[in-house]
Amino acid sequence: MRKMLAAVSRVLSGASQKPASRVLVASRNFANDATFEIKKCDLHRLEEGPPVTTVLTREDGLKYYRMMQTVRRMELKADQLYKQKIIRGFCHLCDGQEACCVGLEAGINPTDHLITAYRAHGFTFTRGLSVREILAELTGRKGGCAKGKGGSMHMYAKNFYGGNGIVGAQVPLGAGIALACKYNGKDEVCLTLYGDGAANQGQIFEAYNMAALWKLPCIFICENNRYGMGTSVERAAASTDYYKRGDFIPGLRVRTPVVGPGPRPRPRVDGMDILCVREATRFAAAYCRSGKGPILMELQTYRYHGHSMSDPGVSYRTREEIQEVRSKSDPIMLLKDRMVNSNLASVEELKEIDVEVRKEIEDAAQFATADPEPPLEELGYHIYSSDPPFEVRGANQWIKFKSVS
Amino acid sequence: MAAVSGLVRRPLREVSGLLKRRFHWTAPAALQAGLRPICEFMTFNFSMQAIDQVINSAAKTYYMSGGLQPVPIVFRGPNGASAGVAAQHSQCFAAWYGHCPGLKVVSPWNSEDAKGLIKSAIRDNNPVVVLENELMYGVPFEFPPEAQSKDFLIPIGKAKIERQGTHITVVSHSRPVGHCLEAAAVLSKEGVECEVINMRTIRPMDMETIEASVMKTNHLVTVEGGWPQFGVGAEICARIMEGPAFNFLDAPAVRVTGADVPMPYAKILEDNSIPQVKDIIFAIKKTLNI
Repeated sequence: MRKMLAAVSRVLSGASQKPASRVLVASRNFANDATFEIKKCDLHRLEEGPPVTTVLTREDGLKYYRMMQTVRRMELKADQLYKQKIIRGFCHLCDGQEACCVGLEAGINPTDHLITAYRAHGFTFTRGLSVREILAELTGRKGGCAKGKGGSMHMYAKNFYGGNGIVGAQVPLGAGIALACKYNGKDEVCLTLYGDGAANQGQIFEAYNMAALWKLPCIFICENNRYGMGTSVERAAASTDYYKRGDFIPGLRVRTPVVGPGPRPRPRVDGMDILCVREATRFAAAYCRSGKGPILMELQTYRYHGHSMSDPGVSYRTREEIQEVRSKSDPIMLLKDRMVNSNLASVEELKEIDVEVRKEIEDAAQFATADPEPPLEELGYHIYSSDPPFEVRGANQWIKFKSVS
Repeated sequence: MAAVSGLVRRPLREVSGLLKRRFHWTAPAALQAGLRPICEFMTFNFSMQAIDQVINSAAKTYYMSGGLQPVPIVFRGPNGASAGVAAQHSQCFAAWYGHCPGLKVVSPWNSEDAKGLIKSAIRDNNPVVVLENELMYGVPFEFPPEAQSKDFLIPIGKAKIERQGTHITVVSHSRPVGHCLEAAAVLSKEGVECEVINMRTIRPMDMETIEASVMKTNHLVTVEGGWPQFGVGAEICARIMEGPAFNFLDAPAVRVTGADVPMPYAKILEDNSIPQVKDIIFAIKKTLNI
């Protein structure tokens, strides 16, 4: 009732610029929350797993929807800017995988830590940077989060350690961050992400060993999108049960639609399900915080784009497969359907969020294309930390740059 | 990745985009069974994750075994800066690999270099690192008739004089050779004739060709894409001082290199982090005092 009066008075005062339909929306009675069933996770060396039901509040639902839509639109804008050659070099997009970055963030605290590989734009956003800073970094401008010096694969934020270009190298780093968490004793955990391709690397197993030996609060997360660049998991791995690869480390797998022909199980709606990811993350974080040591999580997900913008993504998989995932398991669509069907939000309201998100992305893209490049004088900056300024040699002995910490 | 096909009779190739270093572990063992492996890196930046095997399992083995166990293996892939790939993907490894006894290191510039050097590398009974360049893969060159033979080989350890000159010796390898030739063309209009040497091999370095040229021109500029400290140019300058050519220098030798910074992403910064034609021209003029 109070809401309705407030809405009506806003309209009558003329101060509101929202369309009349907003009044109707605000006055409609939405549910405050709804309970959903989520798929059970596959478990390895665990007696029990995350719960199979979860409560989603309207507020959280709207927040997750907005975040996922923002990541989606931001990645699509990056695609556009890359094709216009305004973004150069490498650009690995995560559209399709939004449930992972938003769901993981929903299951942890901002004071927890996260490190991932190069498919990092979504995580950069969920860890707190603005779309402006991210797009401006992609376009190599001084307003970028790394002042234009890092580019797509080298974005950092508070408690977010990038953005790493060399496959798998971030995993031992993540174990190290977890070591720091344990040492500092502040009950923080580190989410250490890698893909199905990196999962076969030796350094991953070394990190598993150390984390288990020293009971580090490290959640190893394998974002399994079924393809390591152009190699399908079946051709790359002797065992595709990535959640079991930690052997002595307990693991859980958040399943997702397995599409395409062949002797595979039929589609199940899971790892593209943000609520499933959230619950699994909460479970894993609680496990680590209790001092039991590391845990492994496999998120079965899917990327719509190719490996990077240089890869059309259709030479090793069919367009039909991509289309099937898009139509049956799109994470944003799944959340939207759930919210609308349980009266947590209306279609119009979500459409409005879409419009707002689009505007935010457009504004950010404008900034990212108009902002100037970093000044040449700063080429030598930030080589060392906490050091007095020194001279840096350029292309020959007469070209000098100043280096400032 | 398709570059090697056609060069070997019966390739046994498994391609996996992200298992970049695994082949290092299996390749040296494969050769003990009489095979001649060619190990391809997506770029040499990833070789750092496997560099132990390149040095300790490949380079040193013949020596450590007292001549019992040769290692006829080839490591190839793109090296150095590309375009906009930022710090972790732009490093030049010429000096890193060139530092190690037991390895041979070649660095092709044009198409005939690429063909002749990789064939020699495969036929060599030693571990050979072939530092290619991604930006050169798409550049077309005139391919002389003799290069079209299937037995066309370029000897490892021999540089090529790409352009004769009398006023100054400009020594380079890989993509910068093209920039040196561009600089030479510009300077030629001003009456300065540069002798441009394409090293082709980093190790063993062809100092004879470089020294003979310096003894003729009395001036030396080295050009490379890698970082200045402990680089290819630094080695050339040190060796010049040890040999007969030193007394023929009319001015100190000068190096043109990549800037001494991790490769930045923003275009203006990246452009200024690699040797440009203008930097080469400037260095040449400074050396000649013009």
